[in-house]
Amino acid sequence: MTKLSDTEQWQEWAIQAQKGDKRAYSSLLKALYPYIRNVVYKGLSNNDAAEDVAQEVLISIHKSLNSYAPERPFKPWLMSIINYRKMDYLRKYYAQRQDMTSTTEANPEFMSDNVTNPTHLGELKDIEGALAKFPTKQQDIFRKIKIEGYTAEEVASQMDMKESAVKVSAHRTMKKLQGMLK
Amino acid sequence: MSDSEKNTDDLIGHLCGDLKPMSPRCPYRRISIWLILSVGYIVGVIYYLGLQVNLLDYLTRATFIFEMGMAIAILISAALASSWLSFPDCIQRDWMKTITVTLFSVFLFWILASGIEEGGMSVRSNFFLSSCSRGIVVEAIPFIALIFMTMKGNTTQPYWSMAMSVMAVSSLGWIGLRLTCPMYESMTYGFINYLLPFCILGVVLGLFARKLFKW
Repeated sequence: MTKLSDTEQWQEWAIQAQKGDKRAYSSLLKALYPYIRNVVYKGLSNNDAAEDVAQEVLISIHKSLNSYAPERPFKPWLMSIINYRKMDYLRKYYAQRQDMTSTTEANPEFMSDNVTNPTHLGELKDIEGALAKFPTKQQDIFRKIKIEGYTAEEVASQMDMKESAVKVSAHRTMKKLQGMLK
Repeated sequence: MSDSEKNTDDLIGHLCGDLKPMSPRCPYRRISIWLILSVGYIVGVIYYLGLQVNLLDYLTRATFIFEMGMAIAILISAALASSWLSFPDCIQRDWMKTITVTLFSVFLFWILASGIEEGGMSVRSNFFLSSCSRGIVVEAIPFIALIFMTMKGNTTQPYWSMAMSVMAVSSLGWIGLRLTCPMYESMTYGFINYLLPFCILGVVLGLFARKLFKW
């Protein structure tokens, strides 16, 4: 007797399962699970989520077992279900990420970890004090680029300078400030 | 054994416990029943509204025969595609969608060309609320039946399923109304009152296709 390949074996079990053979069905689901998990892991970075999606795929296989026709190949049927559930998960995931956008005021932990505490203004005062020792033009360039967030190109056009000169000025100011504040 | 492996084993045990013998679904059987019932419904509508008085004259015109042939071809191909789309592995029959979309595009082009020949597609002068609502009523029941069938299936392409259902039912409605409506002298009129509102309705419903056909 020739040995069946994995997919042929799955197909055979699926046909038996449609006839109500619970043992064949159990073998099918147990054999499919590692395969499904591997396919899902490749597309999702989160292992817990991949595990959930793999279990969702098993449930979907159960719900749609009667849509598999024995004369058609088994693997495309299985892959369609896996891809559908994976896309479903990703769609929900990205939709929830949208919901998770929030203000910094509503997240005090984030504020304390990532934003300078307004009560600790000493450091800022030191920087301002050191910056005041530079020529006005150099101060302006530094403030616009490093504090106000303008690009070098925008500052160059505002101040009628070359972009490279603006970049050099901002870089030198930064280096000198670092030296002064050490 | 880790928690997740135990969960998976429990799940498999539960699913196996639920298993009952089933016969594989045939894509052609249910859609054949839908086609027969829908055609019967349209025949009933034709019987109720009465055949168009100039029908015998129309049947001698090649353009009318072509138009009806196109509508029948769209109806059959869209219904079959819709039926296949309720199977997860419908991707293997993607050519069915291509055929239907091509036929439907040719049909729309034909209507557009006829509209231009008739002297322009003026929506305002051709729009009649009573005709439009009659078109929707005629097409609504077969459409609901087709949507229900798709909901019972396991589609992995919900938007295409909705599109195929809309095309199948619009062509069915077109055939029925083309054979009955006494005001139906122009293609522009038919397009604006019978095809366009239903297509718009289909697009609106299509926005919810993913939720509607969830399984």
